[in-house]
Amino acid sequence: MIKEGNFGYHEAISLLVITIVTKVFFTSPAILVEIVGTSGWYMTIISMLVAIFAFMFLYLLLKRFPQKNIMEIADLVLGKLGSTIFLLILGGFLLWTASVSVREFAEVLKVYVMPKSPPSFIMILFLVTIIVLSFMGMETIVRFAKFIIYILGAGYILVVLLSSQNFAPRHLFPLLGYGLDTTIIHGLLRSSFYGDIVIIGVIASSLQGYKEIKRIGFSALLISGFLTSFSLLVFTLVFPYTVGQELTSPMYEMAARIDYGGFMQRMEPLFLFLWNFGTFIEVSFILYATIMIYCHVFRIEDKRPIILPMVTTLYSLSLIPKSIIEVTSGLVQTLRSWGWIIYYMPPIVILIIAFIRKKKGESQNA
Amino acid sequence: MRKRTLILICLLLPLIMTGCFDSHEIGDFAYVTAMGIDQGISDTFRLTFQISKFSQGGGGGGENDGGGGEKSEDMEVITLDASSLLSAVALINSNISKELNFMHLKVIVLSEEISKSGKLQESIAPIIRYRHIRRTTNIIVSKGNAEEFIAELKPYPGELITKTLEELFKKSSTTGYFYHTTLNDLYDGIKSPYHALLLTYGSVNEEDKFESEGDAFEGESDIPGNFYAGEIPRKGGSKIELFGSTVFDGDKMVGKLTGFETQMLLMVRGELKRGPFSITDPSKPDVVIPIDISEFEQPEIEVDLSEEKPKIHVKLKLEGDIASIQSGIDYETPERIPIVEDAFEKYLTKGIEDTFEKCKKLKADVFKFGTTAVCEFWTIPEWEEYNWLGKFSESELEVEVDFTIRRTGKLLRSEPIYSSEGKE
Repeated sequence: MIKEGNFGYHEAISLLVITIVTKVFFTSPAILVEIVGTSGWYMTIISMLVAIFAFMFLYLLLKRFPQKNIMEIADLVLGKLGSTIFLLILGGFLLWTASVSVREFAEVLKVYVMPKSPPSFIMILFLVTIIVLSFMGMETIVRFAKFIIYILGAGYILVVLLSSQNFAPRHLFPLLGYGLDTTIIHGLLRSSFYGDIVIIGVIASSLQGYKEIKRIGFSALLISGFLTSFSLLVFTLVFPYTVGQELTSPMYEMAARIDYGGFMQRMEPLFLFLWNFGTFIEVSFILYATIMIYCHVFRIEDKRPIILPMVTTLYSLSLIPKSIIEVTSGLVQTLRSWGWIIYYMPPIVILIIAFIRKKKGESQNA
Repeated sequence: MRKRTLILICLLLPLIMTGCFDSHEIGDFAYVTAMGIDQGISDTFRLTFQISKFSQGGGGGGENDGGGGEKSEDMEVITLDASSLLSAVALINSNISKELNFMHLKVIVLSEEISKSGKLQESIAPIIRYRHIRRTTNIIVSKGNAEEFIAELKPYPGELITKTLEELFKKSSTTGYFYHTTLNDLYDGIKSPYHALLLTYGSVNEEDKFESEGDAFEGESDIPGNFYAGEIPRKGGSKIELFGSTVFDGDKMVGKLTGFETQMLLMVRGELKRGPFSITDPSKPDVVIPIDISEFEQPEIEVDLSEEKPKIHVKLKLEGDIASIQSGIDYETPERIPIVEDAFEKYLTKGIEDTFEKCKKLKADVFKFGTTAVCEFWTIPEWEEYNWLGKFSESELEVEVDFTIRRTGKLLRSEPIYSSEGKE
């Protein structure tokens, strides 16, 4: 049986930041430029603020039921049937987001690095690692995230610093992009970018109480917001809005443009490293959270027998989209624009019902 | 037992992972170092590929061989007509034992004919999608056929062609006689609402401008560098020369700038690090004063859009050294040095204004003034509606140059020549 273990502030933040920020390395920035133009880098701050606001409800819920995770809270507040429906929706949604990430990763990798490899081959190799990580349990995933974040951070800083040769500050103009109204509306809608923060509710029992959860949640969102905004700013500085919206992976292209002469060029393998490890952590975490939800719903104590079937389901879901266009313009776009309904609404609804039904957990000091 | 199995799996895994779908040996590829695009005859495009065979005779060693091995580089040029790059590559691959690879492609050469035909969007813009070709690949518009240009593209003695090309393009920032452009610049340029596209101009020098016989030159010298690629009066050396630049409106070539005009342009854009100039001696017009500009401050550019016609103000601040004074006149004194400074300021002002007028006629903002004008707009729809590229031809320019001579070379003053007739 896998024990979830306990982990602290730094480990949890590392995990959440990697899970949230990795998405910026794929097709999202280009879609964002298409929608808001040059204002994407501060639009994401609006999204982050919305995510912080939504996280407040999750925090209030976890505070009301100390030492309980969202699955246990749902059982107490919604009853067995209501909880099962809610958790299956949340679990299914998380599995779907993981499948979108896996397919997006495989497609982008195929476009840039492994054109002759079938997507299924890339995905299977990728998922083998996910299986290994999942068998080791949440604690291993978290500790791996803590270990790798320093290396990823160093790689990220290096790519940004080396790209500074291609910065053109005038690319930031016109400052308001396609208009302030468009920026605000999409800033509000695209708060789903930070939606993975709700997984903190799933792992709440492994964290050191609701005060720690509050610190972790706010810190993870603020750091992710800063890193995402900075990444988009850098990308906007390198590519004008007319070109930026056409790119499959703007951040990869940015790394590929680094050229300091014969001995300092072709730096994209550095970026590849960020991609691979970032996505490993992201998918492992989301998948493991899904397994935790599933096992809770069906009262399964040992998660190990569930890992392989769940990964197989994830793989099958990843194969459904017909093409990269369906992934980027359809699934990713839908997920970023409307994902907030499933990410943020359930904790709010549960909190309201808990208030109405006067359900409350035991005091932490009791 | 479990640990042993895990260790065994870990040891075996790397062995089976090495042979995945995308694995290749270096020897599987034929590396294309230059590619030319001409107007096709039997199909849409005529594509020329220069394939370099990197090999070493004698001992081992890398590119900068210290082991005493003698480098040799054979090149093969293949030309064919095809409808696209992909079909051309497929046709060639079916007839050679290797697979064409563009990972080391250093330059794409476009013929002037195809550049003027407005087929840039069809011919080269789609190449940006091609996985092997990097955005950092250099671009040249050649005066004649790209095919002929590539046939003459040879490495500097003792060097690899890739190194020769890299070094050649670096000269842009130190002389300013041509503009170094990459595939990224091309793609950005044709899609940009901020500025027009400017590409490097190159040609094969047939040495026909070099006059071996004739009367000795008399009179005032022409402005240095005021000619196009292929027109430099020289003999010997590489037949290829990069000089001047080509101007595009959208994806259609509409004109070209001489080496001198390109210098003026790059100075305003703030992309010139240093440059050699020569002005006519203010007191003796048949000789010149060569000046080496070594310090350029970032140009201050203001664009006023409040009136119907955009008004552009450019302020340049530069410093340089007198390289020589052919007339021997003592300009080094504090009283006389402003004479040279003023003359040089006027020379640059006129040069910039003339280049600007030429670009205005071509309706192409290659000066990138649009990147300043855009700061006056809050939103993209407002900016796009204003249509800067359309308004540029109505704009007016005001240039202010502030030049300071810092040093006078190894001589602090010029003493006159003494002859039997006394002091000259």
